Amino acid sequence: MSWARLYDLLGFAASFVLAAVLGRQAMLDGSGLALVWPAAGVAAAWLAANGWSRWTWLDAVVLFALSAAVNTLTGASPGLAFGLAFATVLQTLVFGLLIMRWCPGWWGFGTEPPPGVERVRDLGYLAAAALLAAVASAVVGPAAVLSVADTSWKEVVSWVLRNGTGVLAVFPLALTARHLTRASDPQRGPAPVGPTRGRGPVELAALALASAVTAWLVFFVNSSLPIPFLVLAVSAWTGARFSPFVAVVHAILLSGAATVATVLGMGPFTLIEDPATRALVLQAYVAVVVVLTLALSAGRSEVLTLNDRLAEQAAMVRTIVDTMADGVSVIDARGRLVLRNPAAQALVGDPRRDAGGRVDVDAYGLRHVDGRPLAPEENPVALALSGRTIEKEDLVVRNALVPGGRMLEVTARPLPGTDPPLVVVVFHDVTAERRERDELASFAGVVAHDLLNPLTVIDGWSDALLEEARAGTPVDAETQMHRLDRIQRAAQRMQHLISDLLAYTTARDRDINPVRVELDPLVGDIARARVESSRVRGLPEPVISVDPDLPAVLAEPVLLRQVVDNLIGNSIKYVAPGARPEISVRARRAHSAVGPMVELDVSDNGIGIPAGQHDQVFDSFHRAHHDGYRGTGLGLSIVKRIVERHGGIARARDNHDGGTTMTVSFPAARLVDGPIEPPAQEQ
Amino acid sequence: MARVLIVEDDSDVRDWIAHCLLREGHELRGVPDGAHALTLVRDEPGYRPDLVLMDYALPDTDGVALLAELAAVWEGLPAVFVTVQWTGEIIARIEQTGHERVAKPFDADDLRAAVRRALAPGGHRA
Repeated sequence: MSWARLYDLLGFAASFVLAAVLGRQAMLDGSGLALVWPAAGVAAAWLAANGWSRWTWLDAVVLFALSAAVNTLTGASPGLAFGLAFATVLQTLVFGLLIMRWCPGWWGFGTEPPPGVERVRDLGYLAAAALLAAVASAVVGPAAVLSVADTSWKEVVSWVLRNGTGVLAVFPLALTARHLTRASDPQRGPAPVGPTRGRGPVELAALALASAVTAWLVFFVNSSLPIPFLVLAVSAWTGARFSPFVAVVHAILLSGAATVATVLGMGPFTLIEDPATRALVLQAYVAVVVVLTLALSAGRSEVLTLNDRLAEQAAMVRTIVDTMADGVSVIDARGRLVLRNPAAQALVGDPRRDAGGRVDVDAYGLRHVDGRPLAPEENPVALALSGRTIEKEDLVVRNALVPGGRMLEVTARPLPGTDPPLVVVVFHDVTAERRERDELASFAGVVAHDLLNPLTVIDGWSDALLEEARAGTPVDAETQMHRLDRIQRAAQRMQHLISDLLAYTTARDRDINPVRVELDPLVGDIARARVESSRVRGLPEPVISVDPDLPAVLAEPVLLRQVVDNLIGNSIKYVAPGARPEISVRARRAHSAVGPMVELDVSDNGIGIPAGQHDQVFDSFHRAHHDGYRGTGLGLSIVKRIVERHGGIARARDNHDGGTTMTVSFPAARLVDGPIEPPAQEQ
Repeated sequence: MARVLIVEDDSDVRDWIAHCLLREGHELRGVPDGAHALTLVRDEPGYRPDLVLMDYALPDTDGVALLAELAAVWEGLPAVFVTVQWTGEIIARIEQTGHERVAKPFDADDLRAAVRRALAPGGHRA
């Protein structure tokens, strides 16, 4: 046995002796039975507190011995004392068995005791267990008394009432006391003392005063006035406003006052001459006061707990709704906003409301995906109010807050069980998602188109060649060469497109690990390679002049080379037929929001960019020139992607004397020579 | 023999289409885009093709829109769309016109058959 268990045993034993001695003092003359028996409650708490263990037999033996001893010492005969002791143990065991089954949380409450009887249903279980245990013990107890006194059915009923009430009043007190001393977190749940809301200490003092005055008037002033109902008033006050702990203490004190007054021959119960009847009525009074006060208090406690839980859940739901990225609005049948989270406001704006708070739904500027305004009867709120559910419908919202429009996936449905009806509308922003989807579809379409065109050429001309070969049709060598040339050119186009697509993906996904790159040798290498390429192909050799003082930049070398090569390659390709490309490459230092930059200009004498297409040339698959100039339409979009991933910008402008200047910027290398100039002015 | 206008921006594809149709003895004209086709309408009032054979994805317009403009001048003009079928929407749009459609890459015989159907009386189902 542990020391804690031993202290428990000694504590309960002492409490039991005290309660039993007190009970034995409350005895009417000529009766072998006490008027009240709080010891029954102490015994019940004793057993319940420890639960079943290998030491339970010791609890039972000590309980029996103490009960017999107290009864003997307070004047009971040995036979009566043993009978009463046996009845006490029997009642305790029956109560324990029932509580263990009905309220398992109370059984073995030594580890984590609940704060008290906090639910009306629990009070019902407690009262039923106390009553049944008292009835069980009544089979033994009154029989023992019968052996020494003239007993009747009244004594039997009286036994049941006083023992049952003893358990009913003391057990909750033990629960709360145990909770306050042993629970790991006694602050959890409603406060065990005082009202949860309102002026607790002041009200408690007022209650104490009122109760004392009432008890004095009702029980200690010998008055013939029929005023015992005053007890009901203070009991109802206690139960309705205070915790179960205060309620049970109040009921015990009032019952004690009635008992003491009756034992002293005072109060309304002394008007009953027959002692047995007097005891019975007093015990019935005590039972009613205890049950009434506890029932009111448990009901109040239950309501407060539910309110707190509701408030917690409401706060939790509100927090979740407020932190959602999706917009949520709840609107009533009159069009008034009941709830709206910050995301809803951000997504659809703050609509106009009239004096009655009614939202002007049309002011949201909702439209169909094809741009048609939504008719009033098509509005999701109106549809949901008519009982329909709108599931993930794409709509566009365009109003003062979102003038550019925003694509929303809207779900609206009536909230079940609301009267008057409420509807909930959820907005999910799908603008970027839909744009990406459309772009992907468009991208795939262009790729398919640009691959299938050369494939058509290869397939068609090779079919023609095959057919003619099979048929033995004579075809001159020049025609054959011409056809094979077309096939080869188509295959090269496919190869270029696939290469550009890979470069495009690389430009988007490749990790950028910028290092210091000297532009001078890089541009020189590319220029020499391009000149050589034109010479080999028999084209006019380009004249490329490179500024000798090109600074160093911070860039991913492979991607930077691709940018410069694309720009110089475009300058060579897009010249008038037969013209010699003249290209100049210069650089200057500049400032930008991300720090010092190097702006690289590639100027040419080419055919230029058609008016209004200077931004579009950087779009995927945009081709400014179709006649005679083949290309995938990806080159400049690759350039733009690479440059932007380095924090720079890419732009195109016309030269004053014809041709184009393409400008790209990259971060300047840390160890630059010379001062950084202020941001360059646009020409 | 029929006068066929080919609207196709890819010159190699345009030449291949021409090669396929020349065997049938058709008289052919080729333009790379919608603007050139409309220029033809404007500058050569005496020219009226019996059939237009066009790509859907043209650099400056789409085939269905261009056909509407051409049909406003050349009433009842039959057409064959030679195109990449990449979305159901585009296929549906072409089919709504009731004209022939040939998917790239195409077999020469299939193209010639489509042209014959389009030129036949009642070839336009719209």
